[in-house]
Amino acid sequence: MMRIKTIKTIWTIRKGLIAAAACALAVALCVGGLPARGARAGVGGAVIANDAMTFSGGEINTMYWRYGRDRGVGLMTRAQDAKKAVKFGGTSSEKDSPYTESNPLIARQRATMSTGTDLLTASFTLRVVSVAAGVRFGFVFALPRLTGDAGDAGSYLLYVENDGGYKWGLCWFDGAGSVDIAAPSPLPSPIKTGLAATDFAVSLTATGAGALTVSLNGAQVLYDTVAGANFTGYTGFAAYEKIGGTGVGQWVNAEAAAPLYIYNSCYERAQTPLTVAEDFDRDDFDAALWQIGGELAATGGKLVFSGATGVNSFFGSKYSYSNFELAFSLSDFRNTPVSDPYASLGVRAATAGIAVAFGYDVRTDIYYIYDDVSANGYTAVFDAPTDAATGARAGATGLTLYYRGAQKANVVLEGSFAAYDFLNWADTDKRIDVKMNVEDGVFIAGLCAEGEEGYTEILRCGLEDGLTPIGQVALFGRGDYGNGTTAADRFSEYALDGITLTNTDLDPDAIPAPARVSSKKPVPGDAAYTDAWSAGDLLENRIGGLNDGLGGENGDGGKGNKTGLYIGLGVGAAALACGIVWGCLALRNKRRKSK
Amino acid sequence: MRKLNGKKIKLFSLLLCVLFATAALAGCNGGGRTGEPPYDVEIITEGVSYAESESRTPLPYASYSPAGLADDVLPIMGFGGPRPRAASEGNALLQWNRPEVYQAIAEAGVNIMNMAAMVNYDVGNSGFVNSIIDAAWEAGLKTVVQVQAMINIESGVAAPVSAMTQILTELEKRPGFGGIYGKDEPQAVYFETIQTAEANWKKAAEAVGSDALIYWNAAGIGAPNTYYTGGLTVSMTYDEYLDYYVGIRPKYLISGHYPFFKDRETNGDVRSDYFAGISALRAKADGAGIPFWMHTQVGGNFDAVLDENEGNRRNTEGEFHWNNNTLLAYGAKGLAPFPLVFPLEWMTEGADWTANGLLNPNGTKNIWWHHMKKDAVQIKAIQSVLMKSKNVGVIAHGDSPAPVPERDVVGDGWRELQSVSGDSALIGCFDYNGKTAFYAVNNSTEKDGALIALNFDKKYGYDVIQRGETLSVAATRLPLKLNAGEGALVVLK
Repeated sequence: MMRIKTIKTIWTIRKGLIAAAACALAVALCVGGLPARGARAGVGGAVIANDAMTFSGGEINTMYWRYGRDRGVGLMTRAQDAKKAVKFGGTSSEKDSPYTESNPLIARQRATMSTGTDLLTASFTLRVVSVAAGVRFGFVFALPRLTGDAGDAGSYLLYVENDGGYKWGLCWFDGAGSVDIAAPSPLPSPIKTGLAATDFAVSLTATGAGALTVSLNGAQVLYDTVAGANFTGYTGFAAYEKIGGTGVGQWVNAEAAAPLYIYNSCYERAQTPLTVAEDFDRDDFDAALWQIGGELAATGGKLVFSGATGVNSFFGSKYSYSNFELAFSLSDFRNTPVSDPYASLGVRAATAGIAVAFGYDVRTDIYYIYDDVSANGYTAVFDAPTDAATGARAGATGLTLYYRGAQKANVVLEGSFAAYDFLNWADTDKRIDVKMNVEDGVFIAGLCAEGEEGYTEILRCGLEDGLTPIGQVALFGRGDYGNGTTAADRFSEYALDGITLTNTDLDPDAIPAPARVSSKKPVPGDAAYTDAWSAGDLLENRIGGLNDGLGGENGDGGKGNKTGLYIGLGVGAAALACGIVWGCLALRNKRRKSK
Repeated sequence: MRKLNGKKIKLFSLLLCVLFATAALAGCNGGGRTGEPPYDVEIITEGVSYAESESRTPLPYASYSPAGLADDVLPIMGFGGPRPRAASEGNALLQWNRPEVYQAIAEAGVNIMNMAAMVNYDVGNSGFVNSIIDAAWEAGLKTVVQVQAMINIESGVAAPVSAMTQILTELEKRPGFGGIYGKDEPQAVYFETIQTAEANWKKAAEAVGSDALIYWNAAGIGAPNTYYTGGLTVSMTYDEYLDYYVGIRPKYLISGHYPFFKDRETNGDVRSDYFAGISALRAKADGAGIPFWMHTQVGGNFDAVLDENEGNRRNTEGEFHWNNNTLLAYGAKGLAPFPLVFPLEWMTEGADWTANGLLNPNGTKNIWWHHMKKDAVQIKAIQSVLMKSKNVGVIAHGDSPAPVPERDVVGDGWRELQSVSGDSALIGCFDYNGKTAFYAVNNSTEKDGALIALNFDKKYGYDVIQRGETLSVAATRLPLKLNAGEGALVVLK
């Protein structure tokens, strides 16, 4: 590996290497004859259709495909090689519904193409028994509508036709008819049609810049650029009857068998703040930018992973990134085992793994980042082996890049990298700076120890299909516990600091960072409670008032009782007052009279 | 003005005095509205006479005191206890294994912690779980743990008796060990495995001499019928589902039905099938000759989603007491506050850690801890009666936050009790060793100071236990004053 001393240098050189690596990868894929899935660098992408979507479940999966199932398109298993194949007309069971008119089989996902680097790739195996005269059958793309058909204005068709002999060609439909891009040419000689028809591999790539590449049986037969072309649209298989054609009777008897891949990658620019950074200096972090899970605490100006085990301890971005540069510092490793009466074998092993994951939805994929094939991200893990029984270090730190549970690349920090073997450092307070960069389908990792000026590249690896996955970027703790009598418990104990994450997309779609939201959450004290219950409710304290005849309670809620009392007293008092007034008036009258 | 002579004045004054006296007396007598006799309540001291209530042949009852609890102690099993963890959401948490945390849990009346660590217990790996078991035991708490090597229903694991015996022997070495987590809310599809696990467990427990419990918590009422089957092709009613449950021959029947919620559409408040759920459980347990326990609601936001308009809402103090006390009135022989501690898995961003649980993740007290502690004082005072009584039904007087099923109602009175008057009440009726006991609950979640009178056919002697205080009185009409959801036990002498 090249040792590069300055940050600027490594990342300048990197650009050239990325391009080289991408090209190498593309060449490797083509040379290897593999389906040309994302054979060029790009960012993002989606599988529009693959074997699993097509051939599983005993019939063409209508979740992914649109077609008229009673009109000569169906799924078959070849008797001779047990291969599943999409059959376009003519099987014994489908004689009643031969493929007599175009009945396209269209993938429901639409390909998007907007820049020169955006890429549509299709690769499949075709076997052509017969195509009626005047009919073209093959792969249609840039179809404007899901309900469309070959011949629709704007669509393209890579086809096989029978013009007195079987030929291939590629045409574009301008609304009035077909326009040749590649005029009909004889099929390469190894390809046989008719009753002894052979499978042949077809691959097509189309870029947002209008470049078209076609290979038949691994041999490139077309490389051209169509000025002003737009390949955005739906893809699939279709037949087209030329004007004045003689496509009568059964149009097509052909099969598209596995492998089948239609893949669309496009340069998606993730919308993020250009650079986000966190130093934890206030013992918190910006919760508007970062998310967290598990046993991590911002304390002492660092984010401390303490006792973090498993994958549910993480600190990551809230924004999703495509190309990015991530830099951070690690320190405070516990690099020797400690006794713990409650740990397996009574030992906590030296710090286990530290991982960086990208291309995931962190919370959704949290349990998949190491070994599940259902997620589409990558995990780069720093780890050093430990002795299962003693928990002591048993090897140098390594960095391994995983994709869907499989190792893609690995480096062990020994030899010229021995100085960076930080999980074996005696001085566990010493800091190591890490930089990871993902750009246009290439992953690069570099390390910088304290006192050094720049990063040393330790690992470089092309990503799957040369594509950068889109997703959040996060650091994870890694460990295990509950190992019983088999191994000491492994925890991930270290501190993270000085994390910086930069969007490195070409012409990045940068947005202003949101207002800072502190992650600080005060520890709630005991809830305040004022007991409103009164001891006066207890029978013991009411008993005197119950029996004096005026206690006011008779067990009916006191409503009738008190109401009656108040009414009675009120009426009585009023009567008494009236009586007194009346009496006084009467007395006065009597006195006046006596005067 | 007309002139009055002396006689007329005297006569008129006399009439007014009579009117005043009559009105005053009428008022003292309840305005003539109820016509009920005055109280004759006397504290029983030497010389106070009262009628002995009838002594009958005691009705058989069922109760279950596992994990070393005395047979007169009501199990209170909090679900989801403390889990050692240093931090959450980037904030350092207070250390969990502090003695005061477990003391607080015990002080709230909890005597069993279920799934305290929420992690699998690997035998031979003392780990987190043992640290909890040991620390909790210092406060007298028993801990129920999950041991997937013994039972893992989702994976179809029901260890053979020999393996269970071996593991149980190890577990029983820890005095704080209280039992095994079996499965929470299993659907019918799992019951075949559960039946095997329960049977093997019993044999293993017998071999070891263990009285630890095993936890199978039936799903609550109100789910879609297809839910109860869990993959079987047919749907089943809740009653049929409970048949599956009792079919495994458990030692107790437990379920959860959390009554306080908000529904965006109906703006519901208290689940209308609250008593129906208890009733179903009670009936099934009765039929099987086992007691029933029930989970109680401790706070809201059970999915940690901060939605004040939908889902389980935070219950008030009155509601909290009402939940506990109506269950006791219905004859529940165990309570299971849920959650005991705000669960770690709900500690998502923005979650309010004080939204539920007796304690929050720092081990400090949430508001419901105070409510539970109050109830614990009462339960401690009445549990010796309730645990050894047979509940025969309830008397429902006045309004109720949720309908009380007819099948549970014994009538307007029962045995010596002729009627109930006053504010809304739910009266649990018990045979206590051949004598009569009532658990009177203010059947309102809101009204404090409710006045409820128990009207007996004679002047009997009673032990009245309210707020943990016992008072012996003699009365024909016994007046209780109860705050929202509060209960008082009346035991006839």
